[in-house]
Amino acid sequence: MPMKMFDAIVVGTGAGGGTAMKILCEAGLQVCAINSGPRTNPATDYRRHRQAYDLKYRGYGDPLRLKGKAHQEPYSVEESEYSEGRDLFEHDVAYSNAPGTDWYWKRCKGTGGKANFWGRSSARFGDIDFKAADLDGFGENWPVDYAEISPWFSKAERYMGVASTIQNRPSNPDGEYLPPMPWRCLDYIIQKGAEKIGVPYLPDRCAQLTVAHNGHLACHYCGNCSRGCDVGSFFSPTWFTIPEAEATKNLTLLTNALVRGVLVDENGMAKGVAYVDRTTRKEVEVYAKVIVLAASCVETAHIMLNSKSRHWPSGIANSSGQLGRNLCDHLYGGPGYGYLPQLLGQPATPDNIADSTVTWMPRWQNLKNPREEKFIRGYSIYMGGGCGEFPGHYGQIEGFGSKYKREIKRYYPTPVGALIQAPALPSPNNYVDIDPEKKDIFGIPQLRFHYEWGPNELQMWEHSKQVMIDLFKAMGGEMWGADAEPNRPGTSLHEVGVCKMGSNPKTSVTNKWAQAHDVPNLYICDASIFPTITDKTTTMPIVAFAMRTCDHMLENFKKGVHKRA
Amino acid sequence: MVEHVAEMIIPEDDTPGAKQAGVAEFIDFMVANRVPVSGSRDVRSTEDAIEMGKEAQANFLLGIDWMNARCLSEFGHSFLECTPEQQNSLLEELAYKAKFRPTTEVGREFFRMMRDYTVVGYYTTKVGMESLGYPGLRTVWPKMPGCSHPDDPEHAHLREPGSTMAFQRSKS
Repeated sequence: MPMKMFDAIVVGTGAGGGTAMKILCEAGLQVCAINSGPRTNPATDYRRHRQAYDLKYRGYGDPLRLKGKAHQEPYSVEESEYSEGRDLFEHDVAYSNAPGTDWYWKRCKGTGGKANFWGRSSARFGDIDFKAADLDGFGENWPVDYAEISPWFSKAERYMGVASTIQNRPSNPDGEYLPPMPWRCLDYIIQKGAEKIGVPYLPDRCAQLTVAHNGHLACHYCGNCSRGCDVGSFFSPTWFTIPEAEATKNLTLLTNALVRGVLVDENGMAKGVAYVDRTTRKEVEVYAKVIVLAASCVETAHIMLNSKSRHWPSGIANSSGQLGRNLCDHLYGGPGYGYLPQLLGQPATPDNIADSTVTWMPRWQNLKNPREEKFIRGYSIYMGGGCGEFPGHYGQIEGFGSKYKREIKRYYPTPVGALIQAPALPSPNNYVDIDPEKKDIFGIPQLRFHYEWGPNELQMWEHSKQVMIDLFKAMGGEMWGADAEPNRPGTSLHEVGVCKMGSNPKTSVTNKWAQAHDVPNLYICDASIFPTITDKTTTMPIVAFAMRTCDHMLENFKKGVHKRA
Repeated sequence: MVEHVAEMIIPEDDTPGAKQAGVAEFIDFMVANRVPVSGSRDVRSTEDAIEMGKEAQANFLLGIDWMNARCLSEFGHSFLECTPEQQNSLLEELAYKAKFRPTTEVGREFFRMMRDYTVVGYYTTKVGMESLGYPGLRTVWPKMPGCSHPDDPEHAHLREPGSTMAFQRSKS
């Protein structure tokens, strides 16, 4: 039986895809959303207030759980013993790393994707990011500026609910905020120290509902966020966009459907997608007037690179040769950790019941002069600490016995640590392509990563380690140490750039509306369109850009550029 | 023996100890299933995990034998038959850098693993979490309380309850 023709197909149901399908469905379009894995179900898949003692391996997990899978590397944080046996994370489809590359590609294939488990930091990009090339002469500006995007950031913030304060900082423009999270003792102590060394320490922009918002409940602070919210008190597709799209009755949602390529008509325009049904292993085709790819950045490039045809011998919409190029990630790592002696022996305080970045140190480098540091642009730092789920500081204390036990408790409120979020500059060495030999278990050619940290981001890393030494001194803390190396690339989950937007079709994949230059009925609604990574996280901007792209697409439907099915 | 050493590491005092928290059963389960709770090796595959688990299990069992052999040669008894003072002096040699000796590497590795397992086993139980006052045991809060004395941002007024002497001694 031939599949019916849809107005739009949306590939991926995460932050970008979920937003796209909600907007298009609400506008009355018939939408087919295609999701790689199963339906995410908060009632069975999330942590649900369980504690470590409810788990057989107390959180360490069955070491044999991924035996026989094509990709056996366990994913940290989001994937845990709490989600074991639920098939939300991708281990059936393998990927390759070129020699010298050590990319860590975490994939969540359940509906809603990684945006069910995200960190919720939601700062706006500013002209300091969009027009960075004007300031320091490196690379190119974005094809959009702050004035153009700002209303969409407002829309995204109003929709998602972001808690923060007005800060008047040059590097991170202010938005529309819910009341901020209150500060913990450790925040006041760190802030005093930071002030002494000239570093800002401010409330983060946190997409967590400190008050009820648009019919979503206020947070009840169980601290389980990174294993999924049981009640939808922070933005996630599972609680926000997907149910809203379904309520319109205009949505057909296909699950366990792994898209292998975009199909083209006789003119090389997109006419549908081909996917592998994971259960039957059969290939199926679906057709639509407009295709939206939002498969999570590099997977979008993977699908496009694998969409080869007479018209597009090197992948669909790749006349520029830029498809897959320009891969940028946040360098993550711990530049310093230690403890605050001021808090020794204090009673336990609920420091982590919000499980969030209550505060951050927004970029403070290269603001007065774009070249005042040894590196260009800048990074941000998140600090955390206090009474956590497990006394991880136990290894810092010698001995055993009652005294040892007392010391563990005495230090319990004191540990603090930093996480650097440093943007990698675009580099010709960093890209994805298709592995010429390896195919996954469904016969789809695998994606291959080529990636190394560049000197600019490594300078930031060194810089941040010195900042931490200075900060610990200034706040009266004692340092235990710092990570020797930054984390593996891919750790941040913030990769961008492989389908970059630009004004020039010769040097970019999409135009400023995230519409492929070569294939005007192909749109992209994920972070792959961002030409650079900034010191801020990507989820809120993905939602904002997806809203704007869909608005433009709907205009094109109205104008007749795209026809309804 | 595992139960006894675990209780030496986290004894019952004003809060329950390792024994009451069932730490020995946890360690038996983890060692039998080859699940290490420490070690820096990167796990990239099930094979890595099996390899690492086997190594941890072998080292743990070797460590138990070493402890008994050491006690026999030093004190003429197996570990459990030694006096509490003898047991304590051996553990101190394995626990404190200042007391390390060149011939005790295997024992030190055993003590490190044993302490890791005990701490993990204890603080992942309800009694362990309660002994710390872990706030996350309560899963519904009307709002995030935050700091209760923001008028002293340096928190200089905070005085540690009780004596600080023990801490100063252990630090020097």
